[in-house]
Amino acid sequence: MRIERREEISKIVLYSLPFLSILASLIFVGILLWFVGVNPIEAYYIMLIRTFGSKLGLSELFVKSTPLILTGLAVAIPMRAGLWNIGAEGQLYMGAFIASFVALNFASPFAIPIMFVLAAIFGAAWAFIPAILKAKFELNEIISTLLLNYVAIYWVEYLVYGPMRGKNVYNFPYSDLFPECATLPRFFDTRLHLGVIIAFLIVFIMYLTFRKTSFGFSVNVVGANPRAAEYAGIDRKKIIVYTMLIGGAIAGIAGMEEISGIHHRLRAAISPGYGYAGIPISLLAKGNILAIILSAMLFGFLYVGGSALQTTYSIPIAVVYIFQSLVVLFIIGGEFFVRYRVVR
Amino acid sequence: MDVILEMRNITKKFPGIVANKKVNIKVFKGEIHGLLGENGAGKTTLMNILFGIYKQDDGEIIYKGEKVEFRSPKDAIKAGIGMVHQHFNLVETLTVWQNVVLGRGEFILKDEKKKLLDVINKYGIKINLDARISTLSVGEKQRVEILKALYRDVELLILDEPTAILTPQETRTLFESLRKMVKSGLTVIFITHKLKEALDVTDRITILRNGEVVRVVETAKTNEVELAKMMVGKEVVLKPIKRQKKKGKKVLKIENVTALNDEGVEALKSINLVVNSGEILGLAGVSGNGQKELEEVIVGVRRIEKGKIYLDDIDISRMSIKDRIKSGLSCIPEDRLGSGVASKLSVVENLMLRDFENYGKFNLDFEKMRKKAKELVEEFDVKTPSLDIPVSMLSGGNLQRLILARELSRNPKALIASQPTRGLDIAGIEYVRKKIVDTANSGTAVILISEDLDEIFHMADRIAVIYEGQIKGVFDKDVVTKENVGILMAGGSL
Repeated sequence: MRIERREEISKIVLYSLPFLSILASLIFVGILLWFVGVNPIEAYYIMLIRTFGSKLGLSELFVKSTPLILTGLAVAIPMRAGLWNIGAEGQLYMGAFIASFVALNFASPFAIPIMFVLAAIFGAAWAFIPAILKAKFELNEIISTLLLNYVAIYWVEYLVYGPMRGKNVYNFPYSDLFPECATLPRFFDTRLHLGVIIAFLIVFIMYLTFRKTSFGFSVNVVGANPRAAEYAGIDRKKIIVYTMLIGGAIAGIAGMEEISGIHHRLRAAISPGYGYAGIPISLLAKGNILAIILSAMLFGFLYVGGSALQTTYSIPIAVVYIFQSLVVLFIIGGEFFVRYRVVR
Repeated sequence: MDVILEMRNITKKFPGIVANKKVNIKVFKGEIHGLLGENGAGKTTLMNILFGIYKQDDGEIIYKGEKVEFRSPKDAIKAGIGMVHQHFNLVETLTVWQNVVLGRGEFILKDEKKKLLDVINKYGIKINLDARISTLSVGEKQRVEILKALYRDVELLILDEPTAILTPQETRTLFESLRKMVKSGLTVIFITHKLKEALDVTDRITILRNGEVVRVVETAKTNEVELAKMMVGKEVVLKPIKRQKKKGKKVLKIENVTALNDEGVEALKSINLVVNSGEILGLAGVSGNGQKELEEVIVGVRRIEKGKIYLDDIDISRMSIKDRIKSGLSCIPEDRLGSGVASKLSVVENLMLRDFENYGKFNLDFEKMRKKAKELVEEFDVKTPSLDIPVSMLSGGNLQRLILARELSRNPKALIASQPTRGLDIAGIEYVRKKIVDTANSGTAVILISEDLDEIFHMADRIAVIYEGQIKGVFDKDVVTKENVGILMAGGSL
């Protein structure tokens, strides 16, 4: 047995890989569940039925998937240009912060559109810092985006413990509730809010951008080979900055939608790591814009189905996180077999 | 004579191609055995199988009368087989002897150095054991690689295209020491696609074509024409090139250009060059003497420290790359895969790499792009099964045709062609040369950067020699000899 490089990338392996990876992680998590005393088949059945078997489950699936679709895009778009945006989490928090500021101080019929625009601008601004550092000084964007997350997260934490703490919150680290004009409308007596539709709209616009425009073409070239792009006269630095700005803006909108659609107030820990989840979501979709919807829904399903498991078997949420991590690990590990094969 | 190595019925398949098809090769002890073939003929694959890098699908290897199976290069070295690759594996900051004993895993250094001297004396290798690698020329570095192999008691030495990076003088030195080595009992397998060298240095030649052995010949009983015919499979004569000589106006003017390399060291020192319209200026030099930086400075991907570049009397040295392209500059880059194409993208996308913006801003007209791409593919005879496959699936020759199609169809005022035929087969070389000459005939000013002196003498009107970032002289082709250019390339003076 030895390992040999493939001369050609295998198409069959490439396309079946995500499914095989998910299957493999199902088996592994199954073993894990079996160890904590849960019948895995029954558990998977409960996850499915609780998610897809009721109006509530389905609406929650979409509600949970929405921020994941947006952060998935926020990672995927810079990734198309060959950049790692690890900072979607921070960009999301900055969007949430400015949207709350508007909601609490400038209540008006136009609050919602203003919140959207400002959240996008603040998210983009937060992404602009690492983008310009990368373009000008080749500073590694992985480190700068990652570190800026903590600044944003603790900035919001500071605000809700201090200046923005509400008057009617019994000393909890929350802001006051938003006025109704600053909350996204909900449908069907569920938490399904307007932001869900907007997220899908953004996916569609981005799909067209990368499919149809000359900007999208340039991004693809830079992502495929930055040096060839340079030789062809494409301004790589501009592309770095633009893709990061778009990614940051979309993450900012995700933050706005979370507080205006779900929480209706600013508080610490508004995101259970949606920004970070965007990374495996984008990887799973291989940077394909439309596939982001599918991979985000898969992660959304893991969240919803996971809480079903929690309530039914009272197993720890950690198992859900392990499930998610294993999916990612199997996919990245599986990439190996696209490029190499085992021969006897 | 004793047979030291026999490879029987070796077959090796890769997805889509058969790299070696029932290949038989017999190597006698004490000979220099040539392995001749075009790129993609399966020479390197065959040797990689022998050296334990690949495993054959079928067939067996008999080495010194025993059936062997090397699972890694380590096994091969242990058995007494050494291989010198085209790329060196040397630690630049260490000295020659340190590099040679490195990785032995034994620490009896004093004895080692003595043993090393024995090897050097035995084979007559000229090298200073205490010199630091970073101070050596390419030819000397290659000698260190060979020494590394010999020191490990190698009996069979494989050299993979060893002359690709050498000056004519260095090549001669290498051949002399190879002959000395076989006299003292070493056996050498010499991989090459250059006919002259095969004739010069080998005793017998196995000719490979499309993964199959065409024939085995004794070098003394063959000639260039016969070899070429066997190698390519048809009669080939390199056609003389038709040049329309007319004195044109100055198009590209490089004035006192100084630039740094990636390490921040001056790689170009006050370069002055002028190229007229309709003229081919050949830039001769051993690779690594500033050619890459010159290409980059003209294209605009490397910053100019001092000096100016004029295209039709307009200073382009501070222009963006895009504006330079718009002003009529085209480039066939040295690093085809690295700078010429985005290998993951399709044939259409790569053909449109520079011009896509002419097909709409918000609604790219893919239909029109495809139509244009189809025309280009037909005009330049790019062999591809479809316009939509990634260009990584194309062969080297077709990749270069694609780049030519993109760069020459723009009717450029000036063209930088860097190593345009490197690694191509004879048909490909002819095609590329013809297209570049046609372009010059139509009035383009061409700078041809090449390590291949034959190519430069074949195509250029004037010849400039670059050495350590300086132009050592510019000559009309008719008044200078290859030998003199070779001396300048090696840093000598006339």
